[in-house]
Amino acid sequence: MTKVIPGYKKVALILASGALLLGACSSASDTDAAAGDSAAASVREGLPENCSTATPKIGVALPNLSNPYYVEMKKGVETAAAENGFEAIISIADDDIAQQQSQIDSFIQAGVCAVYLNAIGSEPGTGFAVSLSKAGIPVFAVNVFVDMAAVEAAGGSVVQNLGADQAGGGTLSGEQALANLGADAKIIAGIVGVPSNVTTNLRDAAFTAALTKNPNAKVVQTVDHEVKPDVAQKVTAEMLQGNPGMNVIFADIGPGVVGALLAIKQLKLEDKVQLYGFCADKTKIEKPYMGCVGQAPNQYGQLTIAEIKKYISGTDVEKEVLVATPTFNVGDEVPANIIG
Amino acid sequence: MKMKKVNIPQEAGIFFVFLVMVLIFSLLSENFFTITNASVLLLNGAIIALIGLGQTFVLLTGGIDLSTGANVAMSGIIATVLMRSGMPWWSAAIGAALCGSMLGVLNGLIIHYIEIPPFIVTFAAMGVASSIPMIITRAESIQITQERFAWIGQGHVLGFPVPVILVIIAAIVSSILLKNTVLGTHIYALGGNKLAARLSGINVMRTTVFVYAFSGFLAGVAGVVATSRLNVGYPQTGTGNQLFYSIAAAVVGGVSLFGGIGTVRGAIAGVLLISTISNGMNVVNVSSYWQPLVIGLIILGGVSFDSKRSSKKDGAKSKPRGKPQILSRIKK
Repeated sequence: MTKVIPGYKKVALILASGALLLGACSSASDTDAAAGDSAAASVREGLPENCSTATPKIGVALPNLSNPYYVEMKKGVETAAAENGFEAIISIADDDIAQQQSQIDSFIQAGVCAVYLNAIGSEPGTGFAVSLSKAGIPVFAVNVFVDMAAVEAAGGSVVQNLGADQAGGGTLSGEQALANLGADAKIIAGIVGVPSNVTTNLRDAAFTAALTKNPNAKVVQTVDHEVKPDVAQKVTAEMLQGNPGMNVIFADIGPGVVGALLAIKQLKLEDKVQLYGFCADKTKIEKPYMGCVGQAPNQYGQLTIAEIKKYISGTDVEKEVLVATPTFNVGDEVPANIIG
Repeated sequence: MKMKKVNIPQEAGIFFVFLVMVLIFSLLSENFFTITNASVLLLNGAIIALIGLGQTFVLLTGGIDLSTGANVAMSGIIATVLMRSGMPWWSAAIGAALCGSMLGVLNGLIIHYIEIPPFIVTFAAMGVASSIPMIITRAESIQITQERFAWIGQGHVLGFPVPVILVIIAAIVSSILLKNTVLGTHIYALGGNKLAARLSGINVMRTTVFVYAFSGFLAGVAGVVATSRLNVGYPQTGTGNQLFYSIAAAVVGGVSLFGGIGTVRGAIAGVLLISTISNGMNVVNVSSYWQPLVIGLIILGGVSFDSKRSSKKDGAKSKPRGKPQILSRIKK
């Protein structure tokens, strides 16, 4: 006996089948998107439309590529973006604030999903964060922290500040020098720095403060290496000429360490002058280079992209993430991903 | 009784200023006037001197070469890459300098045949030349594989640093080229009056290409020296203040930005002055915030003086007794 399905039930069955089919298609389509873009699977409300696309765009603002530090950071960002289904739009400002401003404007015009902001300086970074967040784009400040209170006072917001403890790194370098030379040894120190850079100034100030624990220690001069080893070699040699008693040099970025080391060797002062600083790329820690403080820019890049992913998929993230700076002494092997 | 007129060289003024600066820095710091600091000063000034000499040739024709700093970076990386490909260090160094020269040849050809102002052509070349090392290295430093390459930047011959010897050789060759060859006369003529030079049968194309090629070659040598001093291929070596200082050195040394006037002696005096001030400010601990201001004022002074002198020269040309420099040179 054939079971007859009433007409209205047929209609209901067809509708139910259609709904199931549509649901399946919809779910298949979601799964496809998730394969390349897990961030778009579930998107926090109020974010730019671009966050809901298959491959959300992340605007990445970096200060320069003359410092190997940012080269490593760029690699980390690119790796993590590919892994997390983002498209990273990387802009390099060549240390020009006006250029970085126009790049930020381009991100706003492009309606990117989020911005990875390594500003050239903290103050300009505050302005950029205000413009971006007012345009509805979440801002993740990396390396150069943005003053959250100032941004909020101007009506903006910053999702997160992430990076190394810059001042902590300077303090550790100062403590390394005191430990090696003696807590009350006579120390005449010079800084090979970048006086126009807020981040390195934090390191320099902390190094100087750390030395004040020793009443016989003082920083007598700071020279500008412009983040270039050839310039660092020149200015360090000149600083050593002007200060024959100098016995400690602190170089606050890797390229500065490279140049300062060459200058010490050029003047044959290896037995007299000790060099400390933020770890230089591909440079062995051996006399007169007595120790360094490391950062992992590649890791910061990857971490931040992971935090962006968490945030846009609805998970709250910490307002501030401070990554510890490991120290290395003579004889230590500096891992390839560690750089100053 | 009529007094005999003493002919004071044009560069005497800049040498005098140089001596005054040496005296001032010596009074400010006992560590300035020492043999080791003189050695540091000369070594640090070598790069500026090399590209400044090339710049002098270009300025004498009324042109300018903004690509030299980037050329330093490009040549240094090319030397490093050539060595890594297995080429011996000395041939890699020569190859890199020749690549620098090729950039100059291209500059010269474009300036002559397409008739684009040198400022634009060499500015574009600066962009190209600064990108090449970044593209090759992906902005990373490259280790130098042949230790003997370091001799060029760090070695000594009879107690003299090799870079300083290279500068002396370059200065002698430059001086001979400008003073004792027909080419030198053509270079001055081109800078004095391009149209007159062309009408008098001077091969403008060959002269233009030569000066840019020579500037490129010396920038290439500077790139090799700078990379050898660092003993690492760094894609932004030479892109600091070197270009700015080299032009400044030539101009304060009496080489006219408008062409036709200047000597190698003057350019070297300018290099000594700029290098001394740059060195002295660090030795006596002048804040780095102030240093560009001081250098800037010196350059402004030099250029203002040059501008005044040029306007006087133009005034003199309009008077019957005026005697343009090129005519006096041809008569000699």
